[in-house]
Amino acid sequence: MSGTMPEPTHDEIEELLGAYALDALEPEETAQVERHLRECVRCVIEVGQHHEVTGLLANSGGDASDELWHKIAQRLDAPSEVPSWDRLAARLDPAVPNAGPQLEAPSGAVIQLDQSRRRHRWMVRTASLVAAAAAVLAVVLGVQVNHLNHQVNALSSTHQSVSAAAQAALENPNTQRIQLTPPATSPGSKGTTVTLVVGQTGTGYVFASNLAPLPSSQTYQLWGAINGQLVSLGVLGPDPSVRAFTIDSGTKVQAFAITAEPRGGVVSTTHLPVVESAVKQA
Amino acid sequence: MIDLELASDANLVVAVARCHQPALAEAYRRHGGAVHALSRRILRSDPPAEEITQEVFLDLWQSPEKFDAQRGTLRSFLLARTHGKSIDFIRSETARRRREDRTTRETATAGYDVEHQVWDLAVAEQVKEALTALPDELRQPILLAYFGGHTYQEVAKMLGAPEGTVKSRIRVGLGRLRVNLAARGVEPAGAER
Repeated sequence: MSGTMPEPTHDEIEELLGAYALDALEPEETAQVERHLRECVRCVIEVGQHHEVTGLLANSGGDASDELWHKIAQRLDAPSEVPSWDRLAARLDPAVPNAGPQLEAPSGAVIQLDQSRRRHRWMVRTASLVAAAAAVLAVVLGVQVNHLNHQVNALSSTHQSVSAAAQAALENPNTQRIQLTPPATSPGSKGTTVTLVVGQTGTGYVFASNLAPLPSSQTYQLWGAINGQLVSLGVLGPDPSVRAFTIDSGTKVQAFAITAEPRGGVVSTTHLPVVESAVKQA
Repeated sequence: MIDLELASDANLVVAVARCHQPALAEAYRRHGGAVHALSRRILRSDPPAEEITQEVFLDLWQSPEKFDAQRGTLRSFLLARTHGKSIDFIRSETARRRREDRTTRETATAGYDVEHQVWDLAVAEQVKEALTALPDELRQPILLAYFGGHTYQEVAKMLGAPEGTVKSRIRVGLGRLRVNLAARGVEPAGAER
């Protein structure tokens, strides 16, 4: 019977968010809310705010028990319990054994956190995509040298000319197409797809009209996983439709993703992708 | 190099992702007491609460990427997972039967009991004040659902109120509580340093 029930409206879901944050819904309602959260950033934010409040209610307990910590510590050493980030990062790029933060030996209670840690979270997600594609393939897009660095802005062509060029690229059978979709494990924009079309000259186009508009204080940003590095491929604006970008020659792009960032974009991101995809070998 | 004790929660999680056990120990030192106390409060039994506390920190060790610093503090993340796991436990089939009996028994006095037990917790004075400033009809559903582990439908039955009203009051109450806390200068616990 529940299978024939229509999905609740946004307003109906909103009314459930408080109870959802308190784990006070029946399983069917929980599933409805979680489906909605995959496509509604506003509700994700509200749930986060409710969790902050409930976290304060639970702010109690005094000191943590040493005995209980020892029980936890005893369960940490199995090889199968190595954190997923490192396993995946290693699979992404074995040639870069330690691209993340450098840590002292466990006996030292100090860690060194360098800038690379900021991209590490994202790279792990990227790595998971690549792993899901069954292998880390060196995907050469067959592009030409255009820039020495990988920071490529959206082209400044007029919207009309970009659209026309993008349409031509879309219809060109020699271009490569990549569908970016929301991460499966994170609330995002379920059903949202963004198409990238990359031509042999290194010019690519983002067809992003499905992305929900962002407030003017934010922007979408395109990223590529290239040779073990996370690289910005362009700031797309808060409400992109079609945008162009270019990629350096010889670039091995293993995955693409789009994140939501503060206006102007960022050098490296700590946000989860709104949409993403590994690049498979043609 | 930075001292772990001075590291932000977000940086601790990054270190955890690099298999740095002392970082997990520091995260446990900061938040383990609250995690354990919340689970014990909901389950009213220590052995399963200990197990859930272990699970929460093992999950952080195994899947640190699930924590997103952009969406809240590590403390609220850990406590939300603790709450969810604890609720899952008490809603298991055998526990459900016991809880249904308990729900019936508690109907008349639940609000009183839960509120008094909340005051026994080592909650900051400002949090208590913010809770007190809520009208009873907003405060009780929140406490019954959060600490009592009841669904809003069960809370409605316990309070003799329509389900839709209770559902709405929980949401409104949480929003009002957030405002009350902000008015008292209370920041989310475990926030970035």
